[in-house]
Amino acid sequence: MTTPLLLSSAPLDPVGSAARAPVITAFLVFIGLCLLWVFTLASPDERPESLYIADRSLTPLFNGFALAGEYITVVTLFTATGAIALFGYDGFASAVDSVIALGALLLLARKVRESGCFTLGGLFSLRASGPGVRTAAAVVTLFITVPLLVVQLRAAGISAALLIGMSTDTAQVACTVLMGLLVACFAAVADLRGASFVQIAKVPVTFLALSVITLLALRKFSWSPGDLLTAAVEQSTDPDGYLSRGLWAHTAGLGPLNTISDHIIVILGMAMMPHLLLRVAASGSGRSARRSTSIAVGLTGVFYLLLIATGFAAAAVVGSGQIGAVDANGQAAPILLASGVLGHASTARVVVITVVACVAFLAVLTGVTSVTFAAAVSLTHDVLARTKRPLGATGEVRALRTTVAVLCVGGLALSAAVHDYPVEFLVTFSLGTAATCVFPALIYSFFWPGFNRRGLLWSVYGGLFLCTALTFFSPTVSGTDFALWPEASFDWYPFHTSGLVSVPAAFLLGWLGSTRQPALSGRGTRRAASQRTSGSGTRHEAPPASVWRG
Amino acid sequence: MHFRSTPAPPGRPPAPGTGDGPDGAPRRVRRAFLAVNGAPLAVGIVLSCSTEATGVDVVGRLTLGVVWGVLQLGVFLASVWWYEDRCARVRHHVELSPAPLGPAGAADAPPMREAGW
Repeated sequence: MTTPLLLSSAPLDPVGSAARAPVITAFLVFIGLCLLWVFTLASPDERPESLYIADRSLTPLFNGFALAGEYITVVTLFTATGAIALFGYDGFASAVDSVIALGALLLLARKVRESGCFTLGGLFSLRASGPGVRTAAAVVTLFITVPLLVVQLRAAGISAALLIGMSTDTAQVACTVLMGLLVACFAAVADLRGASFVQIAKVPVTFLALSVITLLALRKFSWSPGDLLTAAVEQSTDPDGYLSRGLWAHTAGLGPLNTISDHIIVILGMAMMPHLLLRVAASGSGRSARRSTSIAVGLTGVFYLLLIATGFAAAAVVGSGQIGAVDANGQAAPILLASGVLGHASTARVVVITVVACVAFLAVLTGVTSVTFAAAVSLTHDVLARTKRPLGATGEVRALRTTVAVLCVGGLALSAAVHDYPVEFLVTFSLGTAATCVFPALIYSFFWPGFNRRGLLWSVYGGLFLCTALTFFSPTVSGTDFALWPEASFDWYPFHTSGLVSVPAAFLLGWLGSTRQPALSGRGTRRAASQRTSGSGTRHEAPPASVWRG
Repeated sequence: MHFRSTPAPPGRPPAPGTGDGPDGAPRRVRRAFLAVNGAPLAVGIVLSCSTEATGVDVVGRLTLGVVWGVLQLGVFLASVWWYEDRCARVRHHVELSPAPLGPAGAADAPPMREAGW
């Protein structure tokens, strides 16, 4: 009971030649206006704290909307909708997990804010000081953010190519590069406050676009949700199994433990993303952080309900076969739905397609910027600004801008280079890394005074190694039709994601590293013994006051 | 291994506004939030492991898997609203109680209310 693998094949033109010119014109005008607005938002302030966290002056409502906006990325917008349209229940369950993830963030939000830290380096330094800890945090941040950049830029290229009616590989790469360069311009001048305004604007625009196309689809079925769902089931590749587990070809034959692993990494990974932690840490107080997250939960819940409705509507109106023919993961579902809900000769159809395209652009613009910005803040604040020669405020801001540009261009180059490969597994890798390397470290740091530097490094580096190794030897990389290298076969790890092993292992490593005494010799042993005898030995390394600065 | 809340950082005063009252009310609210959402989540995860269970028809075309997911989302959103409300009330209650060891005059000061939205 699996979906046949639907590879990208014949070029499709859902927009149609008659509507293409006005759609592209309106889209380009929107992009121009967006970029103009973005440049007016660029802050002349040259203080790092102002750029990183807007001086913690964001109100709970403002920050809550912006936090909800962080969840509206091109990946969630297109991949989640496509997964629901193609795989029914499997995509739906993943969407539910994505909302539940905010519960984990809600429980930790106040502690994150009250720690005074806004990067992973700062949070990791709560229990252990030194450049090694901050370097580990920067490494983890890069492992989480770079794969996300690659996938988001690729999704942007696919959707833009679809819009201009050229879904060939060359057109998709060209669109990826063009969209990436536009986004890089924004990212290079962005600060947290400016990016927040765009995030907030994206929320109502996205809600409106998704509501309109869902209602138009519902109108086709005489306003009957039951008829729409029935049509979605009948238009799917497997009507009998569409609303039960197992249609997602990637995970169908991997058993229940694989499903549990997927739940773990989606729920814990989506809550521990560095750009979300930065956003929560930018709140005015711990209470404000909690309120922001509560507001974001409500808005994100509405967003995912709309996504679920859009996914089923896409399956009902367009059909799973056609959605899968454009992209194996169904990423074109919203655009195909927008072009299919109205008659081909209507102006309203042009408007609807343009609005969906504009939402996609906004999602790319803000999603890539947020992720890049958080990674750049982490690298600059935790690594570059802590060298032996201090950068100073102006130098730190310059380093931030340079890092953003390097990350954007690097992500773009990687995205273009791997365009022909099925790299969607990078999203689960990124989530797995966040769930494995960040969640255990934060739980121990906040709730266990015995957690120390060794435990942290064991947990973070051990977890990262496990995540990478298990992903490399998983069916997403070799041994299956949808793998990165389908011809090769070294998939001895049986699950699609690493979470089932790596998350408990990271907790275990953190505990072992913190509780095991180091092997001392000679003078060290005598000194330790003397400290134990006199009672002056400390159980864990207390961080210096400076690390609480963030 | 004892788990407890993070102590104040060395060289720094205790973090303000932790919201933990002497009666442990905030902790109880957190635990209730975890329990209310943990149970449906656990059932949902177990359910999602079985093709047969998720495919049981409940209402029309709606299967048990889809219905449980919708219920789970509903419970989660309602519990977040409840959690936020309770946390704000507990905080307000803590601020209304007299501070036994506070600085001179602190007990007479008007209680702070949570900042607006």
